[in-house]
Amino acid sequence: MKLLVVEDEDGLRETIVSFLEEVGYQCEQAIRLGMALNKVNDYEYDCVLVDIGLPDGSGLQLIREIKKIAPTTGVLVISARNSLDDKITGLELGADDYLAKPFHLAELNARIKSILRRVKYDGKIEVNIERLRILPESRQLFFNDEPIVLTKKEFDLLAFFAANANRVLTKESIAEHLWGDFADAADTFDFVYSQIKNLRRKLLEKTGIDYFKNVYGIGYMFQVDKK
Amino acid sequence: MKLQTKINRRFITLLLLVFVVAGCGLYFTLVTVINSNIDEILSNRAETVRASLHQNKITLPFHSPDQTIDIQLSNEQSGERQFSDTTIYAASEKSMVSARKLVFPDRINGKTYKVTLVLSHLEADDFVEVAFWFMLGTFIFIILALYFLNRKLSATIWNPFYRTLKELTNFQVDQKTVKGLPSSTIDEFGQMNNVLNQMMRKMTDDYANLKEFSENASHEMQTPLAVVKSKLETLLTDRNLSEEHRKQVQTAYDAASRVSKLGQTLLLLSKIENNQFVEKRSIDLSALVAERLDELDELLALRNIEVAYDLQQSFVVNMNPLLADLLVTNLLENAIKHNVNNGFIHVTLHSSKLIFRNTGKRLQGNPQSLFSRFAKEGVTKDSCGLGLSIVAEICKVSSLSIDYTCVEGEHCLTLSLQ
Repeated sequence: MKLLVVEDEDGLRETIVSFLEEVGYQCEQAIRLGMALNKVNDYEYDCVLVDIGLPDGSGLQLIREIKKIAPTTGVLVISARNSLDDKITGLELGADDYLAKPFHLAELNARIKSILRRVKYDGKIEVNIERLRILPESRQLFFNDEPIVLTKKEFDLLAFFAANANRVLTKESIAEHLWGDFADAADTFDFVYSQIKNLRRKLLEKTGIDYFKNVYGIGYMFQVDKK
Repeated sequence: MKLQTKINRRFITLLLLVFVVAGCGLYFTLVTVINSNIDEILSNRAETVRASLHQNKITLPFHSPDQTIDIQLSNEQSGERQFSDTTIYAASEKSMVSARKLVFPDRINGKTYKVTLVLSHLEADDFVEVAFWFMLGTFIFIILALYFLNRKLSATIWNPFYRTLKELTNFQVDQKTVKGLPSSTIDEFGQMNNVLNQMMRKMTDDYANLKEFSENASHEMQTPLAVVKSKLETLLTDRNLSEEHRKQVQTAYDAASRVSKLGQTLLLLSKIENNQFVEKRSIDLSALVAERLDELDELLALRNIEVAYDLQQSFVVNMNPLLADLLVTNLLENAIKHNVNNGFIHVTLHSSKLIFRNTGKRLQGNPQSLFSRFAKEGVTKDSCGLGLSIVAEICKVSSLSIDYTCVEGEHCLTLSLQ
């Protein structure tokens, strides 16, 4: 999978690129709008990460161009302007998702995976992790073709972990993914803990495998055998 | 009431008064003139009668059938010529009509006779009547003329004014270009349009500047914070990090998160104040609350907070959908954050008031400053004390009012339509 990261802030771009490369994507970078326009004209990408506020123009222009040249390319807007107008215009122009800065890298990863699934496979793809089969669209989980019933939040949690398998996820990123605006409400971390405990127990009962690893003080990891 | 109508009412009232006074004046003048005229005729007639009497042309006593001349023997030796008002039967009208009477004594052949001459007002009355109808006609004519004049005026002269008014009503501060009001040939309207044009341009410019500023400020602040947070997060998940270092990184990470959230919240407040959330729709807040509470089911169950809501009726507010969402989110977040374990949250709709009641720790500070910025109770370190000021600000721009009361450890926030 080939991605293009368009972001003018060096520090952030480097972090994103090194993170995404570690996840397993092939990444290219563009610092300015002109450079990004050249790249999308010359090469084909599976997904483009676009910052709206670029030094030589608006990222919205890039979205327009991408959707004209290669409509099947996924577009994820990452903007710090947190402006409703940008968000609406971006999505209207055909962007697939919008992420406000600052964001958690794990969240970015989950969003990119979801976009690629939608754009490339019409969302009809299933995620297979060992013998677990996750159907994101119908929100179902199977183990050896045997369904496992999860609550809505438990499923969200599992999908988030599955997208970031074998990576340590911080409590903050989990809480924010699950609760969004309510992540601030006191004791959501306790809630994350109890929710993971339930999910862990359910999976353990059905599969006999303990997927979750508690990383002390930081968060949790969804461990699967690397193929 | 329209300006023109108001002016007209005053004008017509004054006109009515003038007509009444003038009418009365005219009536009395006419009556005086007519009376003196009739008196003169009577005097002339008296001379004729006296001449005829002295030539013994009339057999005495004399009484004319139409009652206009009456000569009777009088006991009084002397008397004066006397004019007075009387009534007389007019055969033409078949009724009694008012008339003038002249009485004077005369000595004929050594006897004193009282001579009475009467002349009816009949023609004079007609005259007064004609004058009355004429004046009434003039009055009605003036009113009609005024009506047509006004119609013409509001169609032509007032037209630029109404056009300006319409433009102003449709004016929205977030529109990118101001059309500008048309110039007018009438000095006052032209001047007004110029001033309004300047004001509107200034308003849209200020609005756009402030909007751009808040977006740029957000960009300039959140981008470095995004760098800090992502670097720290990468560091945190690095397995080679020692426990001691991890704690320090975690502290720095938490602090960066708080700064980021604070920046977002402050900018959100300034956006609400700048009225950047223009679009308004009818939104049922009670449905929104019920929806949010359902989503929070699991979170509330964890802290064993009992939730009860009676939101059968709708609480419809015309407001921005995003702000409605923020309002409900903040109110519920507030109710959860400051709650105690095993407490409750009750949301009820009572006589068009949406009431949030929840258990919580006793308020330490002044309840009045609850809605002011950075007012925090110091119990939760994650809180920056802006939640309720956002609520207050949203209420201000959405014609809602919010009140806080506290009864026996029960905190109660009441939302009502202004």
